[in-house]
Formats: sequence, structure tokens, C-alpha cells
Amino acid sequence: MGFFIYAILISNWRPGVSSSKAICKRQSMNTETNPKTNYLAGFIIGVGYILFFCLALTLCSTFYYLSELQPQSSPINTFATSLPPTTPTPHIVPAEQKNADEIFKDDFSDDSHAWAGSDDVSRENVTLGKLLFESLNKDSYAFTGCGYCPQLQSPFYLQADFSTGKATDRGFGIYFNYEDNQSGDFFLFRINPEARKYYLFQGDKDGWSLLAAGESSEIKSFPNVNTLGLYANRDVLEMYVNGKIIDSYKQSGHVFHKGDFGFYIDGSDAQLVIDNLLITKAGEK
Amino acid sequence: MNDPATSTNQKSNMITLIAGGCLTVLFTSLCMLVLIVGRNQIAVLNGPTPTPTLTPVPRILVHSPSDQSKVIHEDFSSNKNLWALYYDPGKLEVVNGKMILQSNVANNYEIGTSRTLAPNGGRYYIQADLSTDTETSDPYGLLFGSSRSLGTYYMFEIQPQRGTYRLSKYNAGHWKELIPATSVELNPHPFSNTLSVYFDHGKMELYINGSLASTYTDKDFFQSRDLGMFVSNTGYRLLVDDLFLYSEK
Repeated sequence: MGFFIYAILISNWRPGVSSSKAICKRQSMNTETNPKTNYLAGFIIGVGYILFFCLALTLCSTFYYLSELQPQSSPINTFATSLPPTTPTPHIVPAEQKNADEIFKDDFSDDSHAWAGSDDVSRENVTLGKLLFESLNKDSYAFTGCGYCPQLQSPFYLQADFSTGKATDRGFGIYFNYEDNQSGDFFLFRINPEARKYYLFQGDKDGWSLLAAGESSEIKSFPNVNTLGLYANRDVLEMYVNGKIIDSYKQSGHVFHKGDFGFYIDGSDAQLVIDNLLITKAGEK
Repeated sequence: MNDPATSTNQKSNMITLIAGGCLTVLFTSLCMLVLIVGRNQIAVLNGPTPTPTLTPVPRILVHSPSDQSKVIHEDFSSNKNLWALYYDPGKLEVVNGKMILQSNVANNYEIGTSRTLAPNGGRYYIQADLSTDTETSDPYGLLFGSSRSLGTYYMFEIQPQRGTYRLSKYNAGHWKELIPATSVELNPHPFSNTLSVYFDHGKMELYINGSLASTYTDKDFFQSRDLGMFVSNTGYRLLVDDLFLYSEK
């Protein structure tokens, strides 16, 4: 409305044009009214209106952008907030585990811990500071455990160095959480270095269940040594390769940190060389 | 006497004054509007993401057994039924009363199956509540009539974002679409959708959230009876809860 009034003002009264006579007269009569003052007031109001419309337009555009054009965040599944993160967060730093409370250690300087498997399935030999382990059957896997290793009872971090005598696409790894009962449950963390794949299996006397699998660039192919690490604390499990976490796993109600452990190899393609076994205590941070 | 020039000048002064007054009012209104709207907008932007209240779904069978068949209820309180992956790049966890299934390779299907749970007759019923942790446009759903050794299964899928369902048959590398993508009312994310299948020697009844969505008769039906759930891509996790299962004699 004000703008229209101002428009009328502009169209009806323009100091230098439509009222030029009066101005000339006022000038000649030297009256007190200064047309420049009127002109200035009109100009200021005009600029004020322009400024107002610019401001209003800017604010409207901003409001429209914020309310309509911004991507709307999708609703959250409340249950999903209680799930483990998709990118695993490590509970421990493998490099610092050498200073942690030790549960068990074997540098394989001798066979004092009595590493053995089944005579007809596997062969174990502790020599030159390493455990050499192989399957005797081309199409069969083999396990080896130690006779004088402690049965794990509390949360732990377990790691060992693995290499093979030659390149193989068959897997090897660590079994753990083995309960020597009727069901014979155990879990297995296995890698295939050439394919750079990792697997987490659950096994029992009736078969195997694949629980997690993926690829990781942390896994190095032959002839590199791969340091496999396992963090087990109640229902949480974390898998490490060469000091980096590659995956985590959770199973409500299950206790991963209890039971026996040992090593696994699939097929007789290559001999597995194991060194620097270290198990440390790992509590919750 | 009034000088006409003075009169015009007074008139123009008055108009200028009114125009200025109006401008002041307009500026004041604009400032007030900015204050009110701006405060609300900041509250919306800074506030938590609105999360819809989840209405509890009644844990009942959509389709009851016609005889005294025992209804098995899997509540996923533990992995006692040995749920495991079908293909290798993925992850299957049983966490806080739900089965969580994810694929680890883009555009790759991942299937979760149980080593112990399966119907034991040619007439059976399966029901499960499915939802996802994040909103997705990729399909997911139920798997039934499956045989791992033969590489066969039926796939009952939904796409909540598009509001469609579909039934497919997979036979050792070959896909056959039994029911094409069909529009249906589905609960949007993050609500779960209850999918149910009643299978009677090839005659299938597909239910979504308790309503019969479609029927289909497969004359060349699979005799195998393993069941499972599937996801079709990475980027989301399938949450499965309250699986019901029975077999009729």
C-alpha cells in the first residue's frame, strides 16, 4: 500500500518536472521550503521500498530453500540404533598387546606345549622356532591344538603369525571357543591369502555355518606373513589382520571367550608356518 | 491565501510521510516475521530427526493351521537354529532378538538360512516380520522351497519404497518370474512388514501384513523345503523378527 502511495507521489509530484513552476517561484520568492529536501525524502523512501522488497525476496527464497529444497532426513529405525556399527570399531590396539597382561605365549623354541592333531589327518613339527603344520589329505582340512595350553576363560586377544611354504588358495586360520562336549561347537577365523578373503565359521559335529565373510586388502598374499588377531569378549568378536581390524561379529547370548583354541589348515597344498603365538587379557575399555 | 505551490508541497509532504510510515510498518512486520519463522526453522534444523513411534505389531499367525500342527516360533533370542549365510560375501548376526543379514558386495544377493528350521511336509506355512536399518530402494524378502544342494528356491520380495511385491523362482542359475512386480500397500521404513507364505504342493498364497496379496500355482513345484531371508544389495541390513512356521499333515 505504501509503495502505491509512493508511486502516486512519484507520478504526481516530481520536483524537477511537474512542479517546476512552483519550484521556480519558490526559488524566486526565496521561500523556506527546499525542494531538494523533498526530493531527498522521496528518494530515501524509494530506496527503502526497493531494499524492503529485496530483503523480503531474499528471506522468502532462503525460507523456501531451507524448508522445501533441503534433503529430508529419513526416519530412523529405533532398533537399528542398538545394532553394532557397520564399520567395526576396534576395542584394542594389537601393537600394544605385547605390554598387556599375558595369558599364554609360545615362541615355538621347543615343543613343550605338545602341539598335536590327529595322526592320520595332520602332521605337526616344532622346529627352528616355528610350528610347521600340514594336512595329510589333499581334500581334507586339519586342526592342531596344544596339549599344555590353558583353556581360555576370560576375555582375550589372541594373535599369531602365519605364512605358507608356497602359494595356496586354500585357507588357514585359528579355531577358538571350542567346547569339548557333545555338540563339539567351535568358531573358526580363516583367511585365503591369494583371494584376500576372510571367513568366520561356526562348526559343530553336524556341519559348518558361515557367519561372516568378505575381502580385505590387509590380507597379504604369498610369500608375506599375515598376523591374524582375534578379540573375544562375551558376545563380541573382532577379527584383525596385520594389526588392523577387518570385521566384527556379535551374537547375543553367546560367550566367545571361553574354550580351547588351535590352528586350522584346509588341504595339503601347502605347509603352514606358525610363529609368535600370544594371548593377552582383554577387558572392556 | 494559500499559495498553490505551498499546497502542492504540503500534499506531497503528507504523501511522503504516509509512504514512509507504511515502509516503517512493512519493515517492522518483516522483522517480526523473520524472528518468528527463523526461530521455528532453527528448532527444526537443530532438533533430533523425527522418529515415528513404532506401533507394536500383534505377534499372531496370519494363517492358522487347519489341524493340530505344532507352530514353531523363532524369536531370535539366540542362534540356536544355526542361521548361516548361503553365499560367502556377507554377514549374518543374531543380535538383541533379531536376525541381521547384510550383503558385503554391491548388487549381490545374500541369503540367510537355518540349518535346523524347515517344514517337514508338502503343505506348510512361513511368516516373518521384515524391516531394514536404513531406508532402501532395493528388494528383500522371504525365501522358501529352497535346496542348497540343488540351488533352487522361491523368492517372495518386497520393495517398500516403491510399494511393490514380486514372486520369482530360481532353478540352478535360471530365473523365472512367477508374479511380476505388483503394487501393494506396504508399511514404509522404519516399520516392519509381515510376509507370509502358505504353500500347498505348489499352490501358493502370499500374504502381506495379514492380507492375501496373491495366489499362484506352480505345477512344476520344488519339493525342497528349506527357508530363509534375502537381501539384494549392500548399504542396508535386513532385520528379521518373529518367524512362525508350521507344517500340516
